[in-house]
Amino acid sequence: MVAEKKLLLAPLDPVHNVGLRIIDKGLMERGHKTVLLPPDSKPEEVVEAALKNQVDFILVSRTMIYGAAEILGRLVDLVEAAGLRDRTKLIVGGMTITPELAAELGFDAGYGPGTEVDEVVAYIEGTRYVPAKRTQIKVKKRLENEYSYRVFHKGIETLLKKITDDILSWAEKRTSPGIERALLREKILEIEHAQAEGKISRKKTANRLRELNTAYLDHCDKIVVDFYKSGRLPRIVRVLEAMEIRQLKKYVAQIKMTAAGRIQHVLEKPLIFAQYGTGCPIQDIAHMKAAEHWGIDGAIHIDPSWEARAEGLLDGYLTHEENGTLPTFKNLRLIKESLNPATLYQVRLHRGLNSPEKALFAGEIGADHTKTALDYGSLGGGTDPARLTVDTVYSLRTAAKYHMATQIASNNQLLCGSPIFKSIAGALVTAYLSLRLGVKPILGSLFVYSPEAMITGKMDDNYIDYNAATVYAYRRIIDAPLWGGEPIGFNTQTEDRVQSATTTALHAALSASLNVDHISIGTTDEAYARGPIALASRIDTFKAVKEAFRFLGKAKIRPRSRAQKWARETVERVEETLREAAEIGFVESLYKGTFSTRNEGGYPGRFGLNTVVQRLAHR
Amino acid sequence: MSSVTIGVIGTAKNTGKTTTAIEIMKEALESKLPLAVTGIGYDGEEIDNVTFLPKPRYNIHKRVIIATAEECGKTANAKLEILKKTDIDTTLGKVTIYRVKEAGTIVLAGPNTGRGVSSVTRVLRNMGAKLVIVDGSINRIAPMAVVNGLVLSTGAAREADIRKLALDTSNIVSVFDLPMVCNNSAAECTTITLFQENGRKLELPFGSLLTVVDSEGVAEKCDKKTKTIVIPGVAEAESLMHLVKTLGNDVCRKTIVFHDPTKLLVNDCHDIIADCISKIKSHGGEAAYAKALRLFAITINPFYPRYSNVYQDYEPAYVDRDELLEKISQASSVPVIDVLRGNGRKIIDIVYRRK
Repeated sequence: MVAEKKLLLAPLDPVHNVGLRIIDKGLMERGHKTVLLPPDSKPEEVVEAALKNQVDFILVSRTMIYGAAEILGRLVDLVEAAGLRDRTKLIVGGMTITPELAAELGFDAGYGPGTEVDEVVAYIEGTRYVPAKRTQIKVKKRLENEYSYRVFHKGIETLLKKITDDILSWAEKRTSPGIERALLREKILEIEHAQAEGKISRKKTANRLRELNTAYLDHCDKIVVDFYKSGRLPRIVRVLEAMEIRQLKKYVAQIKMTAAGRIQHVLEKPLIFAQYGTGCPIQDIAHMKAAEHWGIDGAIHIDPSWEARAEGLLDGYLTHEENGTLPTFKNLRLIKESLNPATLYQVRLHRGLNSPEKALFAGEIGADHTKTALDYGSLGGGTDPARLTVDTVYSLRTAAKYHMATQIASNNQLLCGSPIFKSIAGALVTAYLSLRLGVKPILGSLFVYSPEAMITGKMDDNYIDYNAATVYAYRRIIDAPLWGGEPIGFNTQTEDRVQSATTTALHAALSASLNVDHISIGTTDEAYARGPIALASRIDTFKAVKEAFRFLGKAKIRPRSRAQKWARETVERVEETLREAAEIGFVESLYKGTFSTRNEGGYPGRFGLNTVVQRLAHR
Repeated sequence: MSSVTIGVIGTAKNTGKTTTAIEIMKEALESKLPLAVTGIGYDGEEIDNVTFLPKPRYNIHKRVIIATAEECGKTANAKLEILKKTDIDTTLGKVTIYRVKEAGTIVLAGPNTGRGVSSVTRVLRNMGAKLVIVDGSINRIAPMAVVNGLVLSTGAAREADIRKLALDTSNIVSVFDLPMVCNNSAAECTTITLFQENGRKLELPFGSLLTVVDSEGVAEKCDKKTKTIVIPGVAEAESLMHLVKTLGNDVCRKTIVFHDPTKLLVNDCHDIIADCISKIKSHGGEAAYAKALRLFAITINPFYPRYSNVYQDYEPAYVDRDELLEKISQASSVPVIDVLRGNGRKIIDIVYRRK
């Protein structure tokens, strides 16, 4: 039983006394006797009340503007000169109070923002304060497992089955340099793993490795061949030194996740994903460790854009690439291993010439998600439609083998401006194909300022109805999880950090209100950084989104009635689009504009053109 | 040579207390005086805790003894040897006594009460320090009641109008300029006590004059036979003025004894206090102290943090230092020193009465 203490609580501020009132309540609940003075009390009045009540402690609060230090200093002096100092301890609290400032002012204890009532009570009672365990034991959430993937719209389901039958039989007979490299890489990794585990002799397998590597280079572009044969690195890129990797591992081991934050407030979802791709794996890891501290649920690896255009992947710990981080096996593994095991991890396969190999890397390092998009990757991402289709079928089989889910991007986002019904139709084809190959899809993309809406004016009044209509349309068709981004608010952000954080936060609130499962959030300098993004700008959006969720709680944003009307119209036209694709044949329909015409921003990609070949029977 | 403890106090933040303490320290080292340093606040930090402007750093030389909080000891750039850990608490851990083994920077956060200062400086003197410097904090003065004498730092950070600052300084000097009573019994009073001509003494149930009600309580008990009024605690300016006015001409041949100058200066209403003293004297009464506290010197600082509405932040600003020195010197009967011109020697000369 703690002895009852007498305390005087004195707000020296003109109006603010909330902090002291909260402490007062806590102290009274503990059975202590308190006297709370009104705001704007003068130091002399405080001393007079302290003398009159013979208190053990005086607690004051004060905002620290210039001149306030002198007022607090005078109070401390008056308490001493009045002969109270030996009996009375002095405590100061306020928004800018630190232990250093409290020492300077002559107080015995000082408490700043975020102080728990129990911390102050413990000081007063002379006990040791043990902070309540705030560590969130993060549990990995695979929300796709909560969905049945039932297609409600039977007409659409019939068409999706026909289209995916067509894709699977078309792809069955075909291969690509990307697939051939993945097959070789699988064998190379197998031998390397066995060597590392000491299961086979290096000497005995050296020749076999050499053969495989030589065969690998037969399917690569010059930039990759030069790297393996003469050690020539792309411009600026350098190899991380052993000392740098050692230091990094030490740094990661030292970071204790003592207070993993929580962004969602009272909600279980959306899960929050942050993208990284500074070009430097060390910086990426530092960013993601900070992001984990703030409470993100997942990390997304962003590759450099040239990697999507080149046949073959480099190897080793490579850094200093300028516009994305090189997806070498070692880089990806280093980053994944540095993350909290509960953090979901995504490797993107939705475009480019290396997706089969990257799918293998993703599976091997234990990634949870890939990203897939037949239509967006080929019509907005620059990859030849036939090449992307055959590679995607292979990548999805790999994803299934490693139990990865896949985010489905759609070509309504970013630079394309395809009509929403075509985007949804394309996304549904990729999603249905995933399901048939044993991979659970998460449908997107949502919550961006759609270029289509810019043209049609559907977002002129607000950013809510169009996005809500897309969510409603998906839900009228299929029981599947949804993904907002990426990042959410794309095309609404400007160079202004406050504006940028605000619009991201509002889009996050909308996604929560519409019960969306995952969102990717960008930084406030995402589109304007002119170089690697700054960690501070990442924290801007974490804080803004956290505030938005705090504001919204379980309340809902109510879209206007036109959102449901647009959703109905969209579903009808999704069926029309799929019918056309089923009639033409899927790959052909991509070239012909069924999923986006050139006028709508869909340009069939040229990287990998004419690289799909008939598969040899012996494989 | 006897050991001396000097307190460096200021009229506000950023008036140059630490700069003064550093200058005294430099001169003490030059004079080979065994030296110890402590502070009652948080001194020697890189950046001001309120304005975020740069501050003077404590670069402490080898062999100097310092008393600071253990957290400051841990983060010091100077190499330190722990001599003693005291029981005195601060927000940054127990006050600990260190000897500097290799020179470097350190933040001083020592005892924050008079009792603490008294105890720590005693330890420092026992360890052989012939000069103990106690750096002050903000405008705080109360814990300094236990030192041998003070150096007061004032300047533009207190008041950027030099004329007004000179008047303020003159008022402070006049508060120090009172005699000490020979009567030991005054120093022993713990509550306000009236001594009558016949030797009788009347103890009131409170030690400070904090309100007008307190003053009326004292005035009511006074009569023509009251010879001495001892106020051991704070004498709040308006309440003291009320007492002086209520007593009026009755203050004639009475002595009002305050414990020491800090009990009057904690008010920060130096003009009213100076006026009270002057009124007591003009009515034929006397004001005195039970305990002496000498003001050795005044140091001046032309710097002040000026708030910029353009940048919405503090920026360094200065008043004319020559004019400042001239006007403050004219207003003060104790030596005024421009410490930025490296005049630490003058202070040491005054303290040790060196010629």
